[in-house]
Amino acid sequence: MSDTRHIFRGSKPRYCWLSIFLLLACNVMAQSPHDWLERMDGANEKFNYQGTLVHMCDGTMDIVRIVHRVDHGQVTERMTAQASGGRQIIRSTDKVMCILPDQKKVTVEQRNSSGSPMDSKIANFPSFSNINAQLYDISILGEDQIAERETIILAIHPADSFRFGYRLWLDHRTALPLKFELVDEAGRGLEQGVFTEIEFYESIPAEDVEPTLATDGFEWKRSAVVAIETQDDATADKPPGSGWRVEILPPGFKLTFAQSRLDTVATTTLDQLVYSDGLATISVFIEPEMAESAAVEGASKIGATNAFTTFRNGYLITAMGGVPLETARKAALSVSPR
Amino acid sequence: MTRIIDEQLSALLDGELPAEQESLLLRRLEREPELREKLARFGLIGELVRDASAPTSALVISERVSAAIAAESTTGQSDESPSVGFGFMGAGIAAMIALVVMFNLVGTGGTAYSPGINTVAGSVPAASGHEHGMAEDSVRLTRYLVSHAQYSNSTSRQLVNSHIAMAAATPGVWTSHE
Repeated sequence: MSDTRHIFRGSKPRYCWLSIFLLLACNVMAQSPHDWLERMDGANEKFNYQGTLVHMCDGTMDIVRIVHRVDHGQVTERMTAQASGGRQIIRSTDKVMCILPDQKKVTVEQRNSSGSPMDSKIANFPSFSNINAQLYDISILGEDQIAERETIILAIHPADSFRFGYRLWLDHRTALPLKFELVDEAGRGLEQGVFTEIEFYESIPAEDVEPTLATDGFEWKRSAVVAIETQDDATADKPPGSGWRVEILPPGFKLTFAQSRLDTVATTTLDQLVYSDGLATISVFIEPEMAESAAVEGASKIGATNAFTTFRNGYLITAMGGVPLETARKAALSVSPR
Repeated sequence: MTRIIDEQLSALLDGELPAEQESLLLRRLEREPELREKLARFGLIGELVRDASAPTSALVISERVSAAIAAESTTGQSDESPSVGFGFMGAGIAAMIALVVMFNLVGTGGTAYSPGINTVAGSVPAASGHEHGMAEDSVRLTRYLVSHAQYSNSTSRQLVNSHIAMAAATPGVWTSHE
């Protein structure tokens, strides 16, 4: 990181005036909770940073070192766990690589660019400014300091039990969430993450998001996903793929993205329908049921991400998202051909 | 000494630990399972807020952590003792938490357990056929999760990223609801 220039370190006098200016600008520009959400939405594609994230859920804790690089709006991120020999995940627009030194494995999933809108705007993803006030109550709770930085605390409370709520500690200057909690309808915490330290940079060299682990002798598994048909037009009558639809979804969820793609390793097609209410997102996956499939019917979870899998007419259907299990279950069970 | 460490853990969770102390503490956390257990216990928001008597707002999490620290101090016992401040967390649960933390941090691929949930991992010799199926199915679910993450908005992106990290590190970390 020696050739990068450090920014946003409030303790450094030479940036004092810049800090004051930005602080005033932020106060002017982000008066309402929705304004803060809009700023947060764009922060991921604007700022280079590295930091340490402590993540807790289900009674477990993990410490992850994150290097986040933005180059012409394209995001590459390297996450390194502090334990297990420093397992690494590197995500970019067209590739996800997982290096698992404790298992001596490397997995690489390659995607063609048309099928990977990561960190770019999905055409019909609902704008935060248009979030239905009947679905979520959004308010500013106050201010706090996280990782030696000033934050504003945003509370997003769901109006029903079909979706989760959030508490977000947004950095005053960048609107990046420095602390976040997922909560249920009653306000009970389900999951939490906090940056214990974070530093922002004007730029980060490409090599700083490259793998740092030696992988000699590791088992490599590569797969590629090729988009056959992609559509991010929620107004269209017929989504791509074999024409599926989800009949039972909570109020406010709309189709925002649909794709049919080919997994070159599994040699099967996989349809994905993405529904969102502006905050919560549910993906519904549909693929032909294979005789040798190890898929298990029923509910699964990791952290607060719930999934429900069912078999229907020779197809394997799974609904997944950061939503309560019941929402995922109803979505999966109500999938039908158009 | 114990109190200083407790305060450092609390400050770490609040993001208020000075950088030089933080790097030292993170190194200790890598080496010492007991310390990781304690941090998980302090940060165990799910368990904390399930206590009906506890305030539900995350804004007071530090006060609750402080209360937990105070409770630990009043016991006059060692770090490994379960906190009397968490009446709903007996020694058994504390031990289970330690187990879960160990499996998730060390990534052994073993079987973890948390109350109310069956967790299935891939490399358990005594696992049933159903459990092996669940473990193999974790690969499919993780593949889906990576695809799902592409379309998560900025509100939940970091959480989903964390889930991918968990899933990639421990293939059997997906759990089935009872």
